[in-house]
Amino acid sequence: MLFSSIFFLFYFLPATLAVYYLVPRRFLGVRNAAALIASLIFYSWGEPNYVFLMIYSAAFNYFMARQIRSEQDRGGTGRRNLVFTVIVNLFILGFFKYFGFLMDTVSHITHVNIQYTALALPIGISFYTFQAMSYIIDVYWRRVEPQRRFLRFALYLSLFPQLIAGPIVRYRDVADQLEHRDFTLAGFGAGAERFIFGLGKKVLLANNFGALYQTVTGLGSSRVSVLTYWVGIIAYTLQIYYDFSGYSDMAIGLGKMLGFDFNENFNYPYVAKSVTEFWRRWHMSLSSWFREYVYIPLGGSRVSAPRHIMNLLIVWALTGLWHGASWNFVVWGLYYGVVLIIEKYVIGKGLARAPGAVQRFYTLFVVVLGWVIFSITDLGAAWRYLGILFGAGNFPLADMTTAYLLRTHVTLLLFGIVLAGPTPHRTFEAFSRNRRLPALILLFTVFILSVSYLVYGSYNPFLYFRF
Amino acid sequence: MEQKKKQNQTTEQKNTKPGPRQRRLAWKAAKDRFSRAAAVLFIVALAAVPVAGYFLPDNSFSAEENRMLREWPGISVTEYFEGRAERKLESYVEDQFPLRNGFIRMKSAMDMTAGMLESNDVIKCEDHYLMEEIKTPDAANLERTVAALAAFRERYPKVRMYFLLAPNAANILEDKLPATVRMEDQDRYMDAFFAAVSEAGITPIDVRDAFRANKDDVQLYYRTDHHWTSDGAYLAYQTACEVMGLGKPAEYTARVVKNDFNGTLYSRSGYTNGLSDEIKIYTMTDEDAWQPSVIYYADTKEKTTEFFRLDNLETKDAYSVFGGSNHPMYTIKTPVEINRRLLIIKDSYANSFIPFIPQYYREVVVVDPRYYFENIDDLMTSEGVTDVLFLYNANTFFLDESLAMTLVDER
Repeated sequence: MLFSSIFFLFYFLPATLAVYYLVPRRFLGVRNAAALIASLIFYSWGEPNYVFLMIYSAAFNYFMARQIRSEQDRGGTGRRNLVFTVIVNLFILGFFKYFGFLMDTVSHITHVNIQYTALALPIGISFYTFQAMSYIIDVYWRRVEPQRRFLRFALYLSLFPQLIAGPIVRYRDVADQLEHRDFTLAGFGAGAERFIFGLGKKVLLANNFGALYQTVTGLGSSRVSVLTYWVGIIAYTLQIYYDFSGYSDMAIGLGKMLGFDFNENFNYPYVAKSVTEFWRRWHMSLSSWFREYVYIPLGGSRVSAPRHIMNLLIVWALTGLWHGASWNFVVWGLYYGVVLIIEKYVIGKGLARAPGAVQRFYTLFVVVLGWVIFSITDLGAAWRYLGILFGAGNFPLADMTTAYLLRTHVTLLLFGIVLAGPTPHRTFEAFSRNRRLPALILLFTVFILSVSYLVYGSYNPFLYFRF
Repeated sequence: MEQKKKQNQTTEQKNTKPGPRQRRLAWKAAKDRFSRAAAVLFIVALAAVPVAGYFLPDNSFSAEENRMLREWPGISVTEYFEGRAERKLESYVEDQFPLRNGFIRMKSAMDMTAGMLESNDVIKCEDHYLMEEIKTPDAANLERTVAALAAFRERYPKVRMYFLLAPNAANILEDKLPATVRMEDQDRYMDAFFAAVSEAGITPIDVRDAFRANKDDVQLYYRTDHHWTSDGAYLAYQTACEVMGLGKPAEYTARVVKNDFNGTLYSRSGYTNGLSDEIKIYTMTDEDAWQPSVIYYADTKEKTTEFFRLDNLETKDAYSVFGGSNHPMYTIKTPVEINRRLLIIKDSYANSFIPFIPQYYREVVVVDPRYYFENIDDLMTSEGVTDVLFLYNANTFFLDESLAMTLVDER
């Protein structure tokens, strides 16, 4: 089920909240059970089979964590079971997500045509597998106690707000909340506010930017121009930000409605003044996961320079691969690895002294070009797109199509650019305190407009005129 | 909690200069007041939709979209595990959303405000016109159609053949397109096509000059529909008379039978601020000169003398006043002197054009290849066809695959 759907918003969510809050707050275990059942229904919606895989993953990690801790309590290290658990987790992820990719790559290298049946990707498997691994590793490191109750652990892994697209919540950040958390009307309202703005980002901005990007990539070669291609990739840049951060906002908002506090996942990444800073602001739960569970165990930066460079390349190749089973994601990850190495060892000091505008321009330039590699799965096509951005292929600088796209999307682009910075939100924060009624009207206007877009999604005129 | 907050507020009021701690608490308290109001509103909004949905009756048909809406599907466990029940439930709640049309109009209005000019490939133009994009022919497909036409021509060397390919609004009324919109050059495609068919021995009927000469005085296309108007069809008839050697065009009188027509482009785009159209029907001015015809619809086995089905004016697809819905095949018999028999192979543009033609032919056979699956050669022989007219609009024709299939020699 998607958050941005009529069914979720007006049927699943109210029903879940009604059951959840009808349980008196002193029976937190029953509320947890209600949230767990809702999460399983949410997950199995439309694709019921893989819910068993998730339950299996929950049970496996639950028992292995207890096993590791009991070995440690008996004086052992628990190391072998940790390695076993991590391998099984990675195997499940690898089998469902990377099997086809691996087979294709092997056939390509060996020129042997391997026949295989690719399975559908279980939704959210990259997210919940990483959550499970954060749990098992933290238990091994004794950063957190293993959860005694299976129900609580299953709830942590499957909690529907963050199940499908993150943020990747570390177990130790919510361990206490599984046992006691506050429920206030104000907290619920803060969650509603967050959710509505996230919904607006996704439905009003991301989807429209997505349509613009699709228009540009679908243009016939007679209508391509340099500027149009820049408009296209800028549209994608804004689409992916509003899509992903909007989803995170909805997840965090829904979490608050259920009494949970999740960590932030995005912090205005497009105002970053270096690529290093960009990655501290973009999909923070993923980058901190890789830092904590891969980069630092490899030695981090406290090693010789060649080893450090190696560590960065490993981490970034894996980060790329996490985003999808295709070579362009690996290249995209390595691209960032290389840029970060250059920032660290070559241009970092010079960049720090440059004026703010230069720093931001440089960062956005690197990031926008990165999205070309990210958005086009076929590396050859991505390379051609990059070429056209810089004048390859003798396309005109701009043409009427550019004018048309700008004229029809000027409002959208303006909103998209302005709202990517922190100022509008800061203004709303003050506004909501001083001018409560107008702020409420603004908030619910965003909600109603988003709903009108969702309803329009079912507008499907039967095109009788063709016949 | 509440009491504590009240205490904080009172201490605030006493102190003329609140300290940083008080300011922080007041800041939080003010936000909480906002959040509580937001919470209540959000809960009301979430509950209102299912409650309204429960009490409001379900609609089974959307006139705007001309389709059946999903009604309560029921729930079964097997369907749930196949994933089908979920999809049905989702489309049910979307189709039955309270005030659904209002929300759809709101979305369109918002797009317009934001500067969008296009919705579902319909372009909003000057003067309240909605227009379809010009379609690019698929080269291989068009080649197949031209070859089939040439082969058909060759099989009937004695039959006169004509091809009326009507231009579309976005071509003729190009000056009404928004300034930045550039269309494919339909004239280029049409010129190439006309050259190809004349080479094959089929006479083109090109109405573009007549249309361009009259476009400022006559409304040639509907504002809200993709068809030409009756005025456009009448102009095409005048050109056809000349090319087909039918003599001086007869005088007709137009009368408006509907003035609130919202056509296909209106429905498809969801745009609401256009003008509605008039539908006119043409009748011969000199009523005594008019030879009544008998029309026989083969599919419904229905016989009538009426070209215009006025009761269809009240339906959503009011253009079907011209000959009803699309029939695979029908015949029109008229007791005229001339013993010629015309076969019209056509799309829906022909529907408003056809009533002018039977005055010149003892029998007119109308075939719509999109629905007609019989052998065309049998028809040619059995009806003793002496003339063939192909009539299409360019957008439909350049994407059409059915004509080539119908014309294939099956003997």
